[in-house]
Amino acid sequence: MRMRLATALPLLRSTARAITWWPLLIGAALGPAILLVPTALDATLTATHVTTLTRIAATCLALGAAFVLDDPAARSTPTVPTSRLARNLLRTALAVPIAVLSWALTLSLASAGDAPLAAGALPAAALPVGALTLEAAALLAIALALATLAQRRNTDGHAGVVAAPATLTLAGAAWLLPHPVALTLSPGDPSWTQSHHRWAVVLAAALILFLWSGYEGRSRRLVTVAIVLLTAGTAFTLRTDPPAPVATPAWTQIVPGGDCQCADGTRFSFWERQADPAKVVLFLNGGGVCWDARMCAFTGSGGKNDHYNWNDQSGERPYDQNAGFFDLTHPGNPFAGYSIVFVSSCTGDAHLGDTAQTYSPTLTVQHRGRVNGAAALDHLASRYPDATQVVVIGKTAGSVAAPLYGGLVADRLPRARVTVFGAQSGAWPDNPGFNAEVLGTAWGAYAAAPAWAVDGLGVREWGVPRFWSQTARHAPGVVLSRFDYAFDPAAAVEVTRWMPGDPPDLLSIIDANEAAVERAGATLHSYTAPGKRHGLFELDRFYELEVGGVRLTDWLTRLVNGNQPSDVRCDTCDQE
Amino acid sequence: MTTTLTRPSSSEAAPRRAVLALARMESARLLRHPVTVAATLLLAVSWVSSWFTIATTRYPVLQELDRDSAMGMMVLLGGAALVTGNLAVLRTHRDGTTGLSQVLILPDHARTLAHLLALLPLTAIGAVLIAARMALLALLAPAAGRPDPYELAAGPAAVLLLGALGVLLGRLTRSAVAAPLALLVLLAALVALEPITNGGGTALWLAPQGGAALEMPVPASLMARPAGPHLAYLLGLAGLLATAAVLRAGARGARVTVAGALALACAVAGGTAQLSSPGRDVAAARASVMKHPSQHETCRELGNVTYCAFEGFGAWIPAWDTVVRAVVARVPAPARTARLTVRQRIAVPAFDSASRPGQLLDAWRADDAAAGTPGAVGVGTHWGDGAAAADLAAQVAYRLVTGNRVGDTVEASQADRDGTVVCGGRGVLVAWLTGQATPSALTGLHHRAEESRGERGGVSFYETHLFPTVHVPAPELAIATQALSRPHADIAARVQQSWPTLTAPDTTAAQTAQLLGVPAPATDTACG
Repeated sequence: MRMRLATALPLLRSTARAITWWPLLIGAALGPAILLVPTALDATLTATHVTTLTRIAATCLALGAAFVLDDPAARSTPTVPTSRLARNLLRTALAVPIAVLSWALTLSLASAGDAPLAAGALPAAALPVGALTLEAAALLAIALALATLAQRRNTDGHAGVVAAPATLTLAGAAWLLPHPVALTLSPGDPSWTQSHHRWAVVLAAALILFLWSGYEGRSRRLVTVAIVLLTAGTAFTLRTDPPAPVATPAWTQIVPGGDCQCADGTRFSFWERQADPAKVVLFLNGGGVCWDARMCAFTGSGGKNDHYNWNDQSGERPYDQNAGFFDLTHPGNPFAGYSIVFVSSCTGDAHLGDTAQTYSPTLTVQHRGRVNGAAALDHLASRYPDATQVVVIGKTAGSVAAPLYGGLVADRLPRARVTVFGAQSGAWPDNPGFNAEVLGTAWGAYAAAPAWAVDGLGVREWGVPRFWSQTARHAPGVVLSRFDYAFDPAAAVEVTRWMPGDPPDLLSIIDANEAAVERAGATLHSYTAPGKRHGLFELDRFYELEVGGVRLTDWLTRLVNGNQPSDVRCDTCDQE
Repeated sequence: MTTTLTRPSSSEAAPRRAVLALARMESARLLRHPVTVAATLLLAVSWVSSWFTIATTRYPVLQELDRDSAMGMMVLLGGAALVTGNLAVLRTHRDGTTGLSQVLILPDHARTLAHLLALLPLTAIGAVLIAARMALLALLAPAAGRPDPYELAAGPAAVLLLGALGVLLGRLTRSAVAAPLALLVLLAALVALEPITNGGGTALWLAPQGGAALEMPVPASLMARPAGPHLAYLLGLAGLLATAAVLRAGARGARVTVAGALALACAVAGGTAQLSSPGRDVAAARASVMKHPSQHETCRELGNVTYCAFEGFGAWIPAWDTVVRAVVARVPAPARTARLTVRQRIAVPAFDSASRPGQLLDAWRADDAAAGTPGAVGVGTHWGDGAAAADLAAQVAYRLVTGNRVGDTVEASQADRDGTVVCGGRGVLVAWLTGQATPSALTGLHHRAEESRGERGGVSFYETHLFPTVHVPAPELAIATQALSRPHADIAARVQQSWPTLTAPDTTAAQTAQLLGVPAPATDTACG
């Protein structure tokens, strides 16, 4: 072996010069190009589309690699001292960096779905990078194995011309394999993992074929070593396969009836997912806000206008969302095993109001968010009396009321540890005008609030930041936390006119609000991310977000487990 | 002594017989090539296996399967023609005999012509295969509709087109990697063009595969696909590529010019004609058939049930009847609604972009009222799989159990999105009647329940593919599933006996479980 190594190094240069590089280079360039075109055109591709294109790119690469073993001087090489296997390995080693580079580029283009957040566009589901790499490696190995087989069969050195069409034919056959033995499945398929066990076997078989057909000598040592390595590799692949997804409990729609209603007076419903009876999330969804005839009008289609959702048909359904927080099979989801009560808002009052407001002779809006929320709260308390852990999560406008609901949960379930995580309303101002006009008059929230929440405060003093400090005073055991993007353009756009500054400096308002809450004696854990983004729970960014080396999901896990994490704040908040 | 070698000059036109002889030899090699053999076998196997693996193939809609077959042929046989045609042209280079061929009787361009002609037998095989598939389906299965011959011919035409591309690539570059890569680029376009162009539009017709399929099969008269112009377009393109290949190989002269001009005219004429959107009368017919199906259907009475099907779909009525009869049979005689109508419907949003889905439901209700069949049960244009059977069975069961028509009890906008929720004993009965109808409906029940699992649980049944009409919540479904696993006669007897109680609106799921003698589920129902 030592001699082989000694001969290999000087051979590298001449081999590099002897290889016909063009086919490999073209294949390696074409693969990423196939992914680049739809990405550049901003096409909304499903995960299946992206997976298929990635597979086509892998085939391009494999076809290019099929020509790496082409050797026009093949007729003269049987007499050279270096074995064919060594020469093939050398050529493969030289080609591998190009293949790796091309594949990395392909994958990065394929998974670049999340970059621009187009309005209303769902981000592409996470690409199964590992599994697709296994497929690409198998295709590459098949191409090389077929090329070595061609070397054995003909002496003119044209290996690729046989191997490339053969690889393509095999790939076509693999595509058409029926279900029990299928290889090319869509990422969501229940047999995805099993199909990749089959891919691992294909890879192993192709590598063995590559070594066997390149081998001319009599000693079996190398082949034995190779087979041992391959078996180990296959075993490793099987071991590192992700565990089969656990069946996710379903969402149930609950129609509470009674006084509950949406803004237009129609039925209100909320959603429940039953899982762990001891751990529950109360999810207060956004859904927009309104406080005048223009904003509150029952216009637009599907029960929502540009400002808010005004009936039960509008708004997100938890079962429609499969990414971010709602991907309850994601291994990194801190709330994967939790039962969830999902409360959508269809009243334009951030779950706070209890009044019928007549904005115009033809427009009476039922701001009954507090009533609807109370029904969901009742359901939670009666269904999960033994809960030890309740996390109240508020999304955008839903986070305004999150601390108050945290206090209400603590009243109903005194034995549970209650954590409040309010996201994206940190910039809502404490402005006497807003407090009186909107919270007090338009929504009737001041009158509807529990006594402890308004204790000692007049309607003009009762602003959103007070919700936090009043909750801390009433229920000191509740852990309070908030999240904001520093310059979120959408989170507080409706209330801009009550903010100081024109345009207001959102981050300094967030900071001032937090300071006010903490001056009033509350501990408010905070996580402030840089930039002008908006979405969080509905995106896989939920798992990727990391500020100052602290991942949001880790921070949240520590928070709900009762380990008080220190505040996280961006250093350069205007850069993403 | 000197021998004078006179090489025939290219203008003299090589002997036609020599070209034909070479073409014959090349075509034999092309047909025998392992890639061609493998591709043909794969195509045949995929067609045959679809009969066993895709349930809807047993009830084929021929105006859909024609395009489907042509696509399969384009990818497999067309791909084979591209690769093998290219390899054949490159053979002299590969064998190092390029120089030798210079002294042969046939000049390069004539050899290229022979390579192009050699594609014709493969094209003919493609035509035979695709015609055979259609004939077999029409003979062996209760097929609906009729295939479009132009759509079918697009398959062999694509073989010719891709083969010509292979020959041209062989003339342009000596690398054998070009043709397989070109095929992969075409495949990528096949995958990505539709989403890139945002669902297609007419521009998609410029791609070899042609325009996108509709969401669901529709009667043949509404298809209005420009398959004829598209075929001309494909043949024109093939002619252009072939002309380019012989030009590249050195052919000149009037005949090449004429051929090229003809091909160009054909491609341009076909290409432009296929881009024009269907005429106003077709658009009107589409909207009318979608909104007022009763005016375009032929009805047939079987027993107490009237079945109305679009033109060409009448062959499915016995299959529908099997499912409906199996549901009705379990209902005590007095409770059987006097008349039941099953009406076929299509819901293709593109046919009437002006109105929202809710309006379509209203239009259907008005149409039923006008036709004197209020509350007709809807059935789509897919049949053969479990889901379709379960959807039909569940809607019939809902009618019989509640006496309501779908959508009666809830305002239309809500039914749009989630369907009518059937609670308590009624819900259990609907799910049980559905599952016991036929083995296929039982599979469909499980399939639909699986679909709903990640969403709100329970099971939703659909009218066409757009509208969930009936939803049975999870606890009710659990009881029905239990009942379905018990002896059929026992449960059927209990259902007959307790029918009035079971169908009463206030009978709860737990009471139903008791009446049917199955354990009650732990969770109580979401019904208020």
